[in-house]
Amino acid sequence: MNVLVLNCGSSSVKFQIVDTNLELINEDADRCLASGIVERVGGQALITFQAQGQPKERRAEPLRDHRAAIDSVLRWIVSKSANIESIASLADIHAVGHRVVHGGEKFKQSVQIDDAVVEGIEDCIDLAPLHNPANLKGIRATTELLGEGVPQVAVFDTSFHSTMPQTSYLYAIPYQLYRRHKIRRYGFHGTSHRYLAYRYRKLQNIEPDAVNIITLHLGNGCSACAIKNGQSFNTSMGFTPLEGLVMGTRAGNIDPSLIEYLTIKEGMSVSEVDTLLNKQSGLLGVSGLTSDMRELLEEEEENQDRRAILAIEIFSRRIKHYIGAYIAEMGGADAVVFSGGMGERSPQVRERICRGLSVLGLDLDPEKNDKVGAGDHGQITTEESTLHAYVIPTNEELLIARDTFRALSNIKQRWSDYYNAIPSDQ
Amino acid sequence: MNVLVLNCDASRVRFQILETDQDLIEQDTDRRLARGVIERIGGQALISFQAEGHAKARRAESIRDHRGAVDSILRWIISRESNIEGITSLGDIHAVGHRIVHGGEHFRRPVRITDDVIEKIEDCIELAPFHNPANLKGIRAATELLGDGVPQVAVFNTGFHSTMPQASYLYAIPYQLYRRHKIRRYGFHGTAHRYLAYRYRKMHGVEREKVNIITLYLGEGCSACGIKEGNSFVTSMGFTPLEGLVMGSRSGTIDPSLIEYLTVKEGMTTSEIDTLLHKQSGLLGISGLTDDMRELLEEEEENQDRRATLAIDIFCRQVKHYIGAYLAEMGEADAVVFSGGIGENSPIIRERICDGLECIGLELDSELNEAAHDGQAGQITKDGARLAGYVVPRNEEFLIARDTFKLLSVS
Repeated sequence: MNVLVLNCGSSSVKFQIVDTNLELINEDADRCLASGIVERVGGQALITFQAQGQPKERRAEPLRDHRAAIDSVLRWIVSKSANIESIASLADIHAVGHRVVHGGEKFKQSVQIDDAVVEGIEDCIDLAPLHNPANLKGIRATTELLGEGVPQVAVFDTSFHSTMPQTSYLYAIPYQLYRRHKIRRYGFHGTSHRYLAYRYRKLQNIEPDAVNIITLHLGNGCSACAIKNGQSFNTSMGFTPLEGLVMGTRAGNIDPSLIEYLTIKEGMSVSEVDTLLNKQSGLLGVSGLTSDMRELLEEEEENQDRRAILAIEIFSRRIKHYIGAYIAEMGGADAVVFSGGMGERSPQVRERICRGLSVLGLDLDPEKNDKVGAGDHGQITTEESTLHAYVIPTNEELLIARDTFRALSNIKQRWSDYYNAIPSDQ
Repeated sequence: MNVLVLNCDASRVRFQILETDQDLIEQDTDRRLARGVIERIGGQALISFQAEGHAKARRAESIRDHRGAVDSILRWIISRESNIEGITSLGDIHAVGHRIVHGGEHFRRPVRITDDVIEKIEDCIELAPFHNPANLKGIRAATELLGDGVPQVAVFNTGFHSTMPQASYLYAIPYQLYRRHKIRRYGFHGTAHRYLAYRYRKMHGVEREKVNIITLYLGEGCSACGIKEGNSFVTSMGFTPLEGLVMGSRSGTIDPSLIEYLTVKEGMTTSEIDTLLHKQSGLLGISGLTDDMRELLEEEEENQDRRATLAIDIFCRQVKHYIGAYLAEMGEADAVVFSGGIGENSPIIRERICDGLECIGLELDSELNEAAHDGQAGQITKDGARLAGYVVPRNEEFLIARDTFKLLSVS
């Protein structure tokens, strides 16, 4: 089955085409046929398309909205010049899988999209005003361009975390605020953390419920996930993606009293403070330079920039905090998994984070660590470690494609392998 | 030297009188002569006074302000009824030590109180609008009632944490907010944590630099402190005492976006939300019952109240969170020390916190744990546990008195 995986942001559309079916899943041999990204939707868009095994195609084109962007993607996909194996017409796109950021408490699993589902996603806009609307635009554009006949599935960033116990997701605020407004920790990057749990168990050749690890998705957004017996037990992002780790431009945890203090001291509105915490903080805020870790590492090396060093140190320290915290909260773990842009591509950042973690049994092997580059996976700890560390490149699109296939095919007998004990008739 | 230690909150004054001097310090035999508390200042106040070795004397009396409260304390101290050894007149109070909540970045150590010091404490009011003003009232009352001749010392709740490195105290927000407004993690309960570090090193007969522990002060307010080589390395309270652990009525750390969401959804001002997070959250917020851990444990036992259990479980989970987090951040720790009302008096809570921490070497000994309560200190882990656990009753006043003596003997 050829699945078009769509990830629509507020001004971007990312896509992949993945060929998957039961045999391919069993053999772990699903194939990515093509991928690409359209950025700056709404103006002069930057387009990058690539068919597997072919060179990247880049161009710029004014694209007014998500519909135009997806239209541009579809036209390229079926074009002869794209040269995508087994795709000659729109009919060769058998299903579409959409990454939807917030599923609230309503959506605990991936689900085939119908009017009720669209309404459910709309209901969650309140909880994710910056993300769900764009995801919905992608769904609507797809329906218009591919027709009602092509099945679509929504895969939620939040649903992997729906297994967290109340002691993980309730805040220590008046309980009625949870009842009345559904205020609680939701967690995000769920599909990525779920993929990492899956890939870890494949590499270790163990059962799903034997997975006790801490996964670190360190990309533009950063989050940690405590996975106990194969299920999400706790995660660092909360009601929104702002909570938890230090990120490129997000503050992560701060003293809640700071918000009021800033409204007074800087004469800002609460909304402006929220923007400051989301867009001007994190690595960018501390360094005053950039949100890009690679650039900060360069500044550190070339200029010994004091605030670049500070930003990296604070970032690493916060991750250490969560590794130790989750080991205690879970009562132990077998491994820490690094993933996401920084996790996959930066041995230096991994080294900083792992420094001092021998107390938890994690002994980094510098040689192994340095050898694992972009796209590689591998163990980066010494054999004697009792808490191992691995690098595993994430692949949310693979899981979205598989979920799409499964949601449509109702393949119940293999469900538990991948969903880790979510009730099967859903 | 007899030191009157004063701890003034918005509507309460707590005091102790301690006898301390060089010999007593060397032998670790400083003595508490009396203590007490006056609550509900500003109306019909509740007074509880106790000379060491005697019964508590309780009464109610209308007391208008902090000056009235300190006056009431002094009059009792020198009265014949109080029966306090060695104190027969105000002249027997040689010095006053004040617990001041916020010293900002300015005060890293205890200081002798002068007009300049008072002015700087006033400057910190912005950072601690609920606390420093009351502390200052205590200073003024003591000056008026005892005279300028009696030396006074300020010991700051923030002072012990002034050794934290930048990576511990800076938030990941625009750096200029630190430069411009001194927005950073300050930490509180400093004297409490410092006392625990002191008592730990006395118990083990080690040098200060060998103290690598995690201290947990779990009382009305709750905070954790990572102490590395005898110094505060990181702590859970932050810019204000709201951050960090779940407390009686405080939420601890929450998603910062919640504040805006609540202004929209509940039509509250940020000030009202701040009050909600300080006064209606924590154990009280989750249980909807009480901020008192003892009462929650009773509700859980007697009525299997679901939300009482939830509140206790969430509380314990957050303490676990910080124990593991600080172990990782410091790269080492030899012990976890429990203190404060909950930490000292509740073996059940300690057990629930420690449950599962065998993975980091903390192996609780049930019998030892059960025995440590109501003032009993001691080890609560099995011998040879990689991460030992102890209970040490709080005693900030002890340190405040010593700080006062030491500062005055130098000058």
